Amino acid sequence: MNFQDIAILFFGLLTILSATFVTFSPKILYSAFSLLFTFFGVAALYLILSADFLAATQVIVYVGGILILIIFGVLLTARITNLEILEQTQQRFIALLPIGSIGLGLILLILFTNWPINLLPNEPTTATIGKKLILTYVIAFEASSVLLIAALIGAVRLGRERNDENVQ
Amino acid sequence: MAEMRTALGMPITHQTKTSKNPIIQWILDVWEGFYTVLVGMGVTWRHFFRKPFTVQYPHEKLNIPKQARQRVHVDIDLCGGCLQCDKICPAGIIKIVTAKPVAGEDLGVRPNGKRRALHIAEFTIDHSKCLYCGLCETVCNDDAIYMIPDFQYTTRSLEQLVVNYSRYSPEERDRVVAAAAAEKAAKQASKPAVPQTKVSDPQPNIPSPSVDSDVFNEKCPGPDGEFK
Amino acid sequence: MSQFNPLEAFNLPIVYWQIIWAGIIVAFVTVFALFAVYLERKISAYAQDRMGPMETGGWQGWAQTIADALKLLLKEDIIPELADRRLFKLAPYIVFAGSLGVMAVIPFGVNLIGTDLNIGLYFILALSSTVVIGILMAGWASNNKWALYGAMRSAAQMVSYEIPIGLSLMLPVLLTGSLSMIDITNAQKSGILADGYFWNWYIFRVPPFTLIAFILYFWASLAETNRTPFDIPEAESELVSGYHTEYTGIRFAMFFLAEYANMFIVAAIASVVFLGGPLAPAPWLNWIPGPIWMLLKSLVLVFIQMWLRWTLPRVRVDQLMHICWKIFLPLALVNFIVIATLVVLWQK
Ligand code: SF4
Ligand code: SF4
Repeated sequence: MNFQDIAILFFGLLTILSATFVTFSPKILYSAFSLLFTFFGVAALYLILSADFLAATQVIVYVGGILILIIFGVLLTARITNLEILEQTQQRFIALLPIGSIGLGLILLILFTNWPINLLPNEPTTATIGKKLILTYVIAFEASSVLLIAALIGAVRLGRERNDENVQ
Repeated sequence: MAEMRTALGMPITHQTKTSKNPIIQWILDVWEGFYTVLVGMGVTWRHFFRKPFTVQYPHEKLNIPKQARQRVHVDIDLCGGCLQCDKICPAGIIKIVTAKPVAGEDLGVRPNGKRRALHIAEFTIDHSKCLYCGLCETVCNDDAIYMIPDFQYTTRSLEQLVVNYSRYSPEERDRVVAAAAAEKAAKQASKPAVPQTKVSDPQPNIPSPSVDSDVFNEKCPGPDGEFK
Repeated sequence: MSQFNPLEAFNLPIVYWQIIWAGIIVAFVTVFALFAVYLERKISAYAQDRMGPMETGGWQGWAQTIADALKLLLKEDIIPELADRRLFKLAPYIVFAGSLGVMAVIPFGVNLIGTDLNIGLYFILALSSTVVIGILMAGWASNNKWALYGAMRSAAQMVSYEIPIGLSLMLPVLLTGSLSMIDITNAQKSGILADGYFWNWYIFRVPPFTLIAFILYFWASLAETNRTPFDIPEAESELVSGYHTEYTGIRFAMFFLAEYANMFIVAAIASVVFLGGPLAPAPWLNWIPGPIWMLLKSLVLVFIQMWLRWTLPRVRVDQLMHICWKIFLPLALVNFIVIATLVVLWQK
């Protein structure tokens, strides 16, 4: 048990506990805010595994972007605070199929992956990630940016009022 | 904007340029926004070095005009006890008790050379209700009541604002008032037919030594409050 | 002096040094906030031909903010009855931690830094986005419409202005080839003509693009710190005081401290990234230690922030978004592309 193990345990627990809270909290806003701790826990885990760029990206994208969007959505929805979140289960057996297969897949993945035991030295990853993105995975990178642009244009199209043809 | 500046006599520091090309127009707009911010900052900068208008009040005071009405003051030596101020005061806050001197008693002369005909047994002003109208100052024939340049006379309680300017203590007041009343009663007993107008009073419009002026009220004149 | 390395000087393990540095930072931020509030009052006063505080403490009322801070600490800590108690209590800590965490990677000297992350600038951008969450939390938990409006506006404007901020901060990163604050500082030591002079700073490096980037960053950072002309989240005349309307006492003090810490932080980032941070403007001024240069540059920028505040009126919400998306963003993008192209050409 060295410092790193304790940190991994602590942040892992933080992530899992807050994620559980997200799922089971009766108030939707509490769920949204406890996502903050989930994201931070994951970022801290990345950091411990010397993926510093990934950790910062996690915070920027999830906390700075997605979480804020979720909270905005919650706050802008009228009477959402009084909303009763239905927690009943129906059609359990049909649901068991996809969930069970995902769970099984994850367990198999955990069991059969060759986990590197030695932690990598804490070295800069930014340049490597940048080069990989632009050289090796350029197609995926560009495809995702095209997707994002398409989403943006779609959002603008939807957000604009229907009947104004002569928008400059 | 430019017209406004000329109308106000300000120099036209910047002339808005326009262009047909939207991109050039955009650049011009951005430049103008930036430039006008700089102009505004220049204005603020000049204000940093102006002399502040603030007067550090308790340490320094502005010169207050001579005619400013700030606090009523009575020079009790000059007062002849004519009750003009009492009558004119719209707030009814001046309470004057005068008493005639008894026979053979000479009150001397006032600093302005006039004879002192009456005891000013009490001269109370309730400053908390003063309107600063200045009417008392205007009507006084002897310049005995006037405004002084003192505007900081806050007190801890309203009672402290009721000031008696008379030189007579309450006991002396009661004494002179009682003496005057006794003399009057004696005179009336000896000459019942004669009315009291034969007195060598310099101010004939003053009624008999007003022992008690009912004009001094603790409260303001109410809705029925006519001037005395 | 600017080469002073506290780690070597005291032979401390890095963890101790970081704890000490955290203490120093908290103390510094507190003192700075007191000083900045005083400065703000004086500047606002003289900009309006007034005098500001003159009584407390004697000369020029220097102790006024200390007295105010003491008063604030002694005030009752009120939580509104219908507020969401847990979130209400948590929010100031998140805002405060987000602001203060950024201070860890700001170099006060060439070696005087909390921790020199090699993703320094990126770390700053990441942490400052958590402040938004704290603000939203405060606005929501207060159960007050002004607070909620303020929080929503604040979040909307911070999220929008993060883009021009990020893009303009990327120029020095492109020129340096590193995100580390220390690397960025050191890269401004030399470059064109003689080494060690101020024209090596990034603001003058590729005129006019880096200058434009600096101005863009500075303006966008005003929105990030909710200051005039972008202070619509706190617009006193419409929203009382925005997301911290309901806060009192020590919790309000934390928001206040975070706000002034943010002012310093954006000024410090601008001075490190564009103005050479702890570097002296000329070699013969090297005898003045780096932290003093750093503070001086940051304070000048803080002064300009205040100067702007008392010059400009508040913009409307739509104008705010217009400025961000239609002016700052295109400028930042063009800047970015030009510099990226130049860097690529230059390296070839
Ligand atoms: S100033 Fe007016 S209100 Fe005041 S005492 Fe004189 S007459 Fe009365
Ligand atoms: S008007 Fe003048 S002289 Fe007459 S009672 Fe008043 S203060 Fe005295």
